[in-house]
Amino acid sequence: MSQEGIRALGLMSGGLDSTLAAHLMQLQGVEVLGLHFSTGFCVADRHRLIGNSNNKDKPYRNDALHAGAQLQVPVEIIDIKEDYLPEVVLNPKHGYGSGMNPCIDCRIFMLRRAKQIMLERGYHFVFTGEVLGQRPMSQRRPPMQAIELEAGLQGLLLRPLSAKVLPPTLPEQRGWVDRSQLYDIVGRSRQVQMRLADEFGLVDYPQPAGGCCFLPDKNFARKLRDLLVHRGNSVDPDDMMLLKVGRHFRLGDEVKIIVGRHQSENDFLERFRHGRGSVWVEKFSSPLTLTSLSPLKVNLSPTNLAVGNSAAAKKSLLFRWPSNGPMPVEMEFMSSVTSTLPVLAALS
Amino acid sequence: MGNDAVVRIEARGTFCPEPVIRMQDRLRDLVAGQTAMLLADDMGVEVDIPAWCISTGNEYLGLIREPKCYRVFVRKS
Repeated sequence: MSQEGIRALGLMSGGLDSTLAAHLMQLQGVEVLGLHFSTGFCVADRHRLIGNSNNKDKPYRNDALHAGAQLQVPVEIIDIKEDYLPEVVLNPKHGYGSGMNPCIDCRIFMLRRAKQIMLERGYHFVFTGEVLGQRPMSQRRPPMQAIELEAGLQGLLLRPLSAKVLPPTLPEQRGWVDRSQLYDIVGRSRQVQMRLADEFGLVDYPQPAGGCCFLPDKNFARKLRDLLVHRGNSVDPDDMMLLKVGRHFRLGDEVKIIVGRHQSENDFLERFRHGRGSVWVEKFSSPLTLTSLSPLKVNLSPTNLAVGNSAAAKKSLLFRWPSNGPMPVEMEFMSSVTSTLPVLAALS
Repeated sequence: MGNDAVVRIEARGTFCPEPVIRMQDRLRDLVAGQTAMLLADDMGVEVDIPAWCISTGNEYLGLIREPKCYRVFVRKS
């Protein structure tokens, strides 16, 4: 069945499900444009920020772009970071999942954007790789219906992998898509999807393990909650970037330090030194430590600040203070955790 | 601007997918046959720009690794 002239937008994470959904639309002759939303909370992006490589010693890749390449489907990256943080992450109408993951609000937000693009560019409908019952928060029947409704896509949101167990959509009713060629997949098992991937010759897809977003990550959630408690909603993009790396220690209501765990995290933290205090052991491979607030607001002195996690014990430190210029001080390092660091909460 | 001029896209200091977004957005304004050179320091461009080119049908011309940045060349199809 060929549907000449029918055009659809697909939400593409690059995972197996969205890749299969896009391929099913291709097989029906639908012209597909993949939309990949960049939220700032992508697992692969986080790996790359800190210089991690994958097990083939290559940079972590953007799976959506690679899925697009495999299917020969154009993929457009939509940058939603600016609005996503205040509107979705910080103020989710439908609440959070197990971490700080506002999955329902996230789907609604992305689908609203997709609808806007659909109307602006003359696409006929939107599809996703969602599978009924696969995820506890957003992929159950009631939230799936609510998401469609709140996104303003009533009847125009197709989930090809579970379509046969969901009410027929307009694309099916109007014959744009052949419902009989869609699927009835339900639940968390990926067996059917993996079998379909084999059948379609799709060999290059990420292993389904934990999803592509790190907002459900409990360690990250703890750091983000701490930031919100102490900063309210006045969180800026740099704060969010810094939550992604290092060990975080809360010293007081207004003071937090972030300690790099290895060279690539130190390199990353280097980019954020401007306007912050920073501490490291000169001439030794030491962690770089950033203080989270403007130095003008922080009263740190050699007697109340020290840094743990350094093998270079009892070495002289150079304590640099951006507003005053370099200030050499002597500090005593304990072998692991210092006795002078008034840590109120170790966040990671 | 003639088709021979290489359009420079600055993305140093940004993290992926931002370099890809800048390439994608800038190429939208170019005419077919025009070449763009992306300057970036995120190693992700090594794998993502070629994939993006295959996905979108633009022509990936290659990449030069320099000590502190990549120069990635793409021709709009």
